[in-house]
Amino acid sequence: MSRASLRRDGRGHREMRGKELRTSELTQFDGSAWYSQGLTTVVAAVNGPVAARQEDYRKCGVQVYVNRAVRIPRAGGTDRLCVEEQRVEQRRMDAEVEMFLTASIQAVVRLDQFPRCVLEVHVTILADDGALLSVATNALMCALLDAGVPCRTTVAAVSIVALTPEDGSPVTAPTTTTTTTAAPEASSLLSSSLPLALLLDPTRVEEGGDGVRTCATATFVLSNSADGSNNSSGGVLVSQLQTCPRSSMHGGRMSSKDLVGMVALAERAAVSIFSFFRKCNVPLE
Amino acid sequence: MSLPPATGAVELSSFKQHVIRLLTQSKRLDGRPFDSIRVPHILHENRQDTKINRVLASTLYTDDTGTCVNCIVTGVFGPPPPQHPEEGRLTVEVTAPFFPGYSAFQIEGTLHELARFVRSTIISCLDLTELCVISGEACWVLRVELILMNADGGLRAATLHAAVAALHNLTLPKARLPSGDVVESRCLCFHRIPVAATIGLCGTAGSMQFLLDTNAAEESVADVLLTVVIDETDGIVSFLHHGRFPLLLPHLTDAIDMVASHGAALRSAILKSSSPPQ
Repeated sequence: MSRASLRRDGRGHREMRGKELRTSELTQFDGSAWYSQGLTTVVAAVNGPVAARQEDYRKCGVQVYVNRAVRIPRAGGTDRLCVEEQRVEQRRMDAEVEMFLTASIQAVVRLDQFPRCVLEVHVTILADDGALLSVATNALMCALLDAGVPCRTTVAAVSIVALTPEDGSPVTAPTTTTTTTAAPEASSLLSSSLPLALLLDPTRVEEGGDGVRTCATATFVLSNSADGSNNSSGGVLVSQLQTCPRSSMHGGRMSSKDLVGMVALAERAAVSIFSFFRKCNVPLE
Repeated sequence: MSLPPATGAVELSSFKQHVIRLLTQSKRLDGRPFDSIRVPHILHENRQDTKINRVLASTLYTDDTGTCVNCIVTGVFGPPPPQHPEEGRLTVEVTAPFFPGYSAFQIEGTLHELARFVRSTIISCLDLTELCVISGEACWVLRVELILMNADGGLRAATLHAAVAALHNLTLPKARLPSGDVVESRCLCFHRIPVAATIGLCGTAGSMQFLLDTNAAEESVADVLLTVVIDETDGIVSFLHHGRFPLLLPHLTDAIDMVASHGAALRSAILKSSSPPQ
């Protein structure tokens, strides 16, 4: 029974992948961070704030450039149109990462202290194995701290996948076998009353889902608490939730209570990321 | 997230100061109350005589303050995607040809993110297996082209409503495959219909004020921006939010409830089919 609740890489539902962080390795930038969670690896480099001409001169402008180390190569033959669509979709995912990181920087960095300046961020995605937005945001946060850019708070980003609960539990199995006529009604009542199962830090296979149980993928950026306590978070700064295709036809609904549960789980997971950041701050002996 | 507001001859910073002064006096730029939405108007263009251009639907989305989005749906036959051979293909393109003064890099990133948002929201409400003709061999390839003629805030909601209005009850015509098989006519249906709204949040003098359905000027001065997409059962289809200060959980649920209270009005306005007189 306990083995059935593990994921395919051996983690529990609320367990994150191994984290690794390296800072100050790119010497041509003011600050840089190499951050990975599992196989997802992102390099973020920060330049500036530097003087530049822009329209809104009262505060610093933000430019985020997202690149990928590996892109889908071009193809010929009958698959050319499909491969070209995948390339366009990958480029649009880069634009989505750009918008998400720009919103995170505008929320964190005190841009009003640098009028007539531009803060440039170059983000390179070395490997994408799920939870890309949260890994990129964590790498960006470390790069900003490494560059010495004044920030209002530190943030931690967490990705979560919501699944419909399993209906193969032994508690419900004898009731369905005994009462066959009331089985769909009982199963619908059970599926509506049970909360959604949440997977923390999903891999790419878990994000893609099986088409039936996966309801939604979400990424939350949570700020540090003001009093510095380790048991709570300061609130959600940036969030993005998207329901998965092919699952809403099978009754996978997402309500406000499920969103509240996801944010609560993300707040508890952010505490471990903040403690990881603090441990990395200790200099080597 | 949104394109900068069109301020005309007024400087952008002075325009923002003017909007902030109005918001502190509990006023909005267009005189609306804080909890009202701009009701959209959908015009369907009937092109029964010009099916030769592969145009299956053409809608024009407008509201009372000048947002104008044109949505054109074209369909051809093509191979299905290799990952899901039993499904059809849907592509979304967003262009903004009438915004030449802004930075091209900024506009391109915004339009790419818009196209991805519209496509991922639509395919989570639409069954793509209805576009399949022969599993693994042939499918309908629908191309949704959204042209932003005028934008006044709420870009995600406007483009999503225009695309949903064009794709709802879309008739895939009777056609012939290159192999000679005849494909029967089919009607495309959503199993849930998404409606969206953008909510701004201003923290003035210590109190939070929600601005429902923000325009471009309010989006440039708002502290927090939320985009909420819900379906008929008030379930969340998509949820995006970013801001200058962290939000706690009651603010998120209040924003969802605010959009849910106007969901029926938005849905009836989008699905009402009105055609111009011939």
